Amino acid sequence: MTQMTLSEDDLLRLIETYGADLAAWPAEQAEAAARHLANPSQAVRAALDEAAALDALLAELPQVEPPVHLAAAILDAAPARKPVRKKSAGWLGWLEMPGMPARTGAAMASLFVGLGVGFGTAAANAPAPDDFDTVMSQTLELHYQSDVSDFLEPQE
Amino acid sequence: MPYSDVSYADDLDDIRAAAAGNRLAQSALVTRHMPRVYNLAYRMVSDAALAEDITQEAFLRAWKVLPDWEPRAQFSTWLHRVTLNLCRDHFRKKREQVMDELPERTDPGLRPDERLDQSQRAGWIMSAINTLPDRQREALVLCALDGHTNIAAAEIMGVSVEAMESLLARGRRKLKTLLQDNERETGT
Repeated sequence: MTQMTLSEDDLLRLIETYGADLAAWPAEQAEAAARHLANPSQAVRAALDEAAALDALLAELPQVEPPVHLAAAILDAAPARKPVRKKSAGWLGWLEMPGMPARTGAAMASLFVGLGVGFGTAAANAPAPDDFDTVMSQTLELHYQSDVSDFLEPQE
Repeated sequence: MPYSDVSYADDLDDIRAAAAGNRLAQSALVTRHMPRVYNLAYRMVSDAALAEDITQEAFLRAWKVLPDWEPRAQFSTWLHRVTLNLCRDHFRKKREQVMDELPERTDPGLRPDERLDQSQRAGWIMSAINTLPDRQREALVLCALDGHTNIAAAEIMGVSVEAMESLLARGRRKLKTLLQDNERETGT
């Protein structure tokens, strides 16, 4: 990397802008100026003296302490922590209703599981359509036979 | 180390947490930046109560933008720019109110027989700074008093670095002239 070089005019302009303290200068120019200021010209020396007087004057201005209550007032207006959202209960999440205790949800879940098992078992054990028709017709036949016999006079 | 470079990484973490309502992160941002913001406001408006209002307003705006904060922006620069704009708003309103009634700024000159102790001297320097045109004063306060880098100061002011340097040089030159005039008058 090439080193920055400064003319006397550059130096005078920088002193007028940033003052006599190289710590207040932009880093690159400060580094270049440090090499030039080892042996300054009379004009540069005079500019440095004037700038140093002004720097000293400005340094007399103290940092102003903010009022003690200011930080608390600012923090009072800061956003509050957002409420933490509960994790979803997964596929049973639909059972979760506002205000309903968890125990009730569990009971409802058991009920639905029981009903599901019951219907499933009943369907599996139901007779095939042919068997069903036979059973029904036999049942009806017996029923009507008994009804009719009640009205028949006894055969001698 | 210039103030602007101090807390960039810390700010990013704290901004995310503060936006979510983390009190510690909010407190860290306030502790890190509030004194500088208050000083900038105070040095611009020379009124403690007004500087307090401006500081509070600047942070109120910060709390609002934190959830949408873009990591590429530097929080301290943004906060100082908001503060400076609030100061500019104040001056604009003040000018509209008192345009024809009062002299805009006080004369920092002293009677020849006056001698200054340190606090009076600081008061006189502030009065002298207050006589500078607005933009020159901003450049002087940001760079020479608050220790911002030339790049940060230019960004806060919304001007190029070259323009900021020109304003700073003119501000210093004018202040130096005021100082020399005063020394001649008072014989100090």
